[in-house]
Amino acid sequence: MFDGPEPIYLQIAQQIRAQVLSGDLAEEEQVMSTTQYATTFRINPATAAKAFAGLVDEGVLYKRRGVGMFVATGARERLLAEHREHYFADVLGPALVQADLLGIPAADIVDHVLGRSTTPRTPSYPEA
Amino acid sequence: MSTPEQTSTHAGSQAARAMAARAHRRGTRAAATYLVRSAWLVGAAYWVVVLAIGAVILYIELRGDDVSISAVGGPASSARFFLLVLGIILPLGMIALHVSAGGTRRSLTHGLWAGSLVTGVTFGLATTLVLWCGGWLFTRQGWTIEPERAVYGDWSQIGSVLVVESLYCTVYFLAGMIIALAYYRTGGWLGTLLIPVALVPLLVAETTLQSGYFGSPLSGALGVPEMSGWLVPLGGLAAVALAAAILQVVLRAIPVRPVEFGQSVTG
Amino acid sequence: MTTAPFGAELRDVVVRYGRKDTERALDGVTLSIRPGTITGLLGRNGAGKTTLAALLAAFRRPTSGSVLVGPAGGPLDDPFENPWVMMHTQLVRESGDVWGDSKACDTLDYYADLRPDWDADLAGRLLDELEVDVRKSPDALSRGKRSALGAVIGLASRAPLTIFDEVYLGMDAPSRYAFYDALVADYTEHPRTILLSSHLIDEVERLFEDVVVIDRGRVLLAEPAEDVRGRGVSLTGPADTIEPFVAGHQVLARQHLGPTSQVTLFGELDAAQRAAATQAGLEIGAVPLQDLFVHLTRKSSDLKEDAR
Repeated sequence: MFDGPEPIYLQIAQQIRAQVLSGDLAEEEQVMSTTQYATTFRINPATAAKAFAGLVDEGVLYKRRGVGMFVATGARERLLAEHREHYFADVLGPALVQADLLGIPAADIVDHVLGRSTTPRTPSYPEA
Repeated sequence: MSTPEQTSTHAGSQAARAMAARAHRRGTRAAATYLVRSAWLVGAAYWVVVLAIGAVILYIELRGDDVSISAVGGPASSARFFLLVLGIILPLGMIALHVSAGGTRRSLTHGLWAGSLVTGVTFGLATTLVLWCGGWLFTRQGWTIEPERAVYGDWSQIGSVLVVESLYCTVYFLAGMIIALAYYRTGGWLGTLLIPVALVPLLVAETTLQSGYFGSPLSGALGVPEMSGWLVPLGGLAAVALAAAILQVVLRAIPVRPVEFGQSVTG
Repeated sequence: MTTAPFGAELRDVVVRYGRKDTERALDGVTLSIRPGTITGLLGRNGAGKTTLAALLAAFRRPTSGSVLVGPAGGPLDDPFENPWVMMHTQLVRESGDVWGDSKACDTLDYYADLRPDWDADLAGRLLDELEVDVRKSPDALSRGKRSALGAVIGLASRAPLTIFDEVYLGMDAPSRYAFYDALVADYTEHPRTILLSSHLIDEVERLFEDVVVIDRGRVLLAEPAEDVRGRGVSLTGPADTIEPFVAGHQVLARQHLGPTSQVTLFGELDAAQRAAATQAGLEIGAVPLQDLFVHLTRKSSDLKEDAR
């Protein structure tokens, strides 16, 4: 857990965002308190608090005084929209660059995506 | 966490001074209690041995009908030497724990003072009781006790016996502490060289109280005149005060040794 | 706890352990400990961690320089023989300071008598959890149980400055994790300043908000743990793809598995380099604090060797 290169608080935020996206955390559902989070994952409470504060700023979570943190209404929609936006730039973009590097024709990729490629793959392109 | 009165509490504030004073009393009491309790835990065993040896000697003497040595009095008035040894052992294990528990060296010093006084007086009381019982047995046998050169002529002067033995026990207990703590503080050679410093209050006590093994011969050898009246307890008290002062100097700013040293000393 | 967490400052602190001026346990240490943090105190054996802890807890005085301890927002004071500061500072040394030959509960009673914020319930709970039998004397306990006793004392004291100096020695993994859990839980409920020295860096690094690394009596670095983590990066991917990114960085480690390499670098990659690395299909990873620590302390000692 939390072995990525980013600071731990960003990884925690990322994890919670992923749970909201996948629906594991429903909107208006209460999330773990900073204390629970820190003790569960054996991390510094200040680190957990920083992650939660960031998510509040983003509007993913909101605070109810004296009760705790909850997933904001519409948080999932907003995250979906953001991720869609980033998908092409961050995920598909590099994959296409890689394909270009390997000399895979665009038609093959389109075929693959559409699932039309019925014949077994043969190296139809010249070796790089 | 950060209400106004909390952040205004610091070492110099009035509230902190009151807290520190309470902490000082707690520290003093805890150190004194531990010292007295430990001395008596081991001391109980000592007194059992003293009574057993006394009984054996008394039995032998009764059979031989020759009563030249003090049967019970000898072992009983060596309580001070027992306390000298306890003084060497007990405080060594106390410094690190006392400071680790947040106590100051000052409260430890005061605790050791109070504790050695209570221990000294209670051991003095025990000595007095044993001497008195021994003496009572002797007279019942129809023997008379020849007074040595001692401040108190015999066991019947209970008040004098109690004062003299209590002062002896307190001074010897403190001297043991001085020896041990000076060694703890300076280590090795210097610690050994400092032992005579601990002997000075003993010298004062012996030459004014003038009883027991060393007191009378030593005073005789040094040409100290026989003491009587108020001079005796005053001299004994001076010896106690001197030992207490030396102990304070040794303990003031004493560094707590690394773990390995403590383990090698206290086992 | 009624007292705010303590901060600490050391300025030009020198501690000599021998007669010669070169025999220095601490050699010009200037350092701040932020109040309310869990700070990791890292260093190799003999680096000066224990001496540093002893100064903060008034176990001893520095040869020169100043040591100051006090509550957040208030003035700092010399802790030595300062009753108010000392009653609020708890140092737990390895295996703890205990009466070795009388029952463990006697030791606990002494701490309970002196500590203003002692929590007997917490102590009892933790002793149960760590399975320490207080009717036994510490000398009769195993090393691990004895260490656990020290850990319990440290937590139950609730001191605004609490220092654990290699308190885990001999404790088995479940006990250590129980201790870490109790530490985090009690720290969140009762905020205070905790200084934790350990050689088991992998286990505790995520507990740290700040990290202090000392080596040969000097402070190598003192900064937030996130910054320390940012000082290194690992790259995994095809060997020849990695090489361009390695240039200009110190290589801490290099591993090969067939055509795949993993290179651990000291120093940061900037955003552009990161993007380029990801673009090139390399996997960017974090470097465990342990590896950075080993590198940092090795480097400085090698430099000293060279200078001789």
